[in-house]
Amino acid sequence: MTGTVQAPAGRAGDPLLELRGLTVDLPGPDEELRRVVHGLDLTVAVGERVALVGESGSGKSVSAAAVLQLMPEAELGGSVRLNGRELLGMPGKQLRRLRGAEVGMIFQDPLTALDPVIRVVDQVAEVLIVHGTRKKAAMEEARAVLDRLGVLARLPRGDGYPHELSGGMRQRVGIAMAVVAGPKLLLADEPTTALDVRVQEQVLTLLDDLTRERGTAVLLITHDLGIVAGFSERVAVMREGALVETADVDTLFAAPSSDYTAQLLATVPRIDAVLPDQTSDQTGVPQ
Amino acid sequence: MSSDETATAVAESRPDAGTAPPLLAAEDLGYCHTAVKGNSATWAVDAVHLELHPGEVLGVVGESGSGKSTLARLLVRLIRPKVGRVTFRGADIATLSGAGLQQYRRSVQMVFQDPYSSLNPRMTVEEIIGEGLAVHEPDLDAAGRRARSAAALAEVGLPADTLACYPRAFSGGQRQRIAIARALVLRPAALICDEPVSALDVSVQAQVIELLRENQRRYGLAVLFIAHDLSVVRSLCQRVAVMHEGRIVESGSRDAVYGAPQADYTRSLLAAVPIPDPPRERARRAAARAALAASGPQPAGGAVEDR
Repeated sequence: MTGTVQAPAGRAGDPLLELRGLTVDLPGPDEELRRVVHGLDLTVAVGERVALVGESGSGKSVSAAAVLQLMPEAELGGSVRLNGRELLGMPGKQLRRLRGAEVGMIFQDPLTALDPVIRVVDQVAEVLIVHGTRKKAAMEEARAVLDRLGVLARLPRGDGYPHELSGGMRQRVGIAMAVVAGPKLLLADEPTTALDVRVQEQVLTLLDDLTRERGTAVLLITHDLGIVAGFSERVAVMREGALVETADVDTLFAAPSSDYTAQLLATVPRIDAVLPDQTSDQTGVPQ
Repeated sequence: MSSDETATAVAESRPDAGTAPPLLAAEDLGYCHTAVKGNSATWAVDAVHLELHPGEVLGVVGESGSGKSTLARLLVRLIRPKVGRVTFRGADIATLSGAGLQQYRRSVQMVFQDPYSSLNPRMTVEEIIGEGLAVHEPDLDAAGRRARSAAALAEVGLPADTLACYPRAFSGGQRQRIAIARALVLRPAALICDEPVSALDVSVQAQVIELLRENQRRYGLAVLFIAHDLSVVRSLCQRVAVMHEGRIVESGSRDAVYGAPQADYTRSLLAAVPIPDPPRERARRAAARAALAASGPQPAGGAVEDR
């Protein structure tokens, strides 16, 4: 791809993203800076799927946004390396080349992440065009990705505006924009939280398939431990801006090393939980 | 299952059916939003039969747009039905006035999803909780109201010295507890909760659910718990009704609906719920993927994406 700062592609297992002692300070309501992330260490290997979980205010979204420096008001410290290159302190022009081309991002709310007055295919193609692809080729590639994600068939006249699509279809457009330029890393911040459970299933499956096909590493930010269990290989748990523990997914669920994680797992209502028998006045329901 | 059969099944699931009247009932309830530009009106709530009995926790689950929130608004008379009626202790709520209406308003309280928009930012916690008391117990003086408000606040686990605070001082979970205290201070017979925990973290969710459970046990509070989260509903509710496109497609005891779902729609919903257990969740995903490949792009139970 022309015009991008393309680092040599790593092999599976090589570190792709390395956060070392990442700190994030954000201005509070009184304009005073407050530290919301306290020295986070986290590595995502090439092609790996890591889930970053935690409750609201734990700093998980802010940490992901810090990778691409999407918060102009934030002060960042420590180190963020992508393929060995330090991103903190990188000039804005180089960072912009990185966004989309090397690191894609999917946001929670697909409607606010899309421009309401630009056609869907144009929005996806735009990601390629800003990275130097010619318009005709970009439009073709955008259509191909939207077709792969099942969006094209839902677009009236083969194109259309975001408001003509359902929430699930809009989030597929969000995925298309995030992956179209072939990034090696995808940051997905609560990508299915706004979706109904059956739509969530479809979107997750597409995200799963597409990133596997392309060998894309995924940092999945979510509060939903059910999704984490099926999607990720490794899990990092955050609380109050700090890392609580990191483990491979089976170990974390089977034998969490911290009390906090154990408590979190115990609190989650499970669809397969064994419940006490229903009280006598609930039995004998005719079906 | 037709709605008539559903209503029968719901009634028969109670041993005292036919003797004790339901606290709150929807009878052939229908509501449609006004048609636009010559389009035919869409029924947001369509031929719904539902009974909430004293002291029970009834869950209503469904996806967005299934009509659950509209149903809640009909039950508390925020909107009027186009068809059918809602009864409170046997009386049509549309015909209530004066003391009867006052009694209904007091007995059926509502908790909304978003605790940021449901509390007036210009009122202190004391004013928020005390407002209902001022209306429904006019004989109570300011000191009496304060004592009752403080007690209600204590019951939801907030210290009395927060009475003077404004909502902005509280987190989402604390705000939702204030909203529940506002409802419970009037000792209602029924609480209609519309997605009361979906904006909250799991640890806070668990506290709010325990709070509802405690009030059901201690005061015989009836709760209509509307939610999209099937796991949460299963953990709390004794009976469950499943809504889809304005209709109740299935209802019954919690064990019946979750253990042996009859409607394709219910089955497709349950099959899509992630399980927080890696081996089980991977197996579930693999099965869902296989089912999807076998059945084409749409899972059983109706189109997922039809817009």
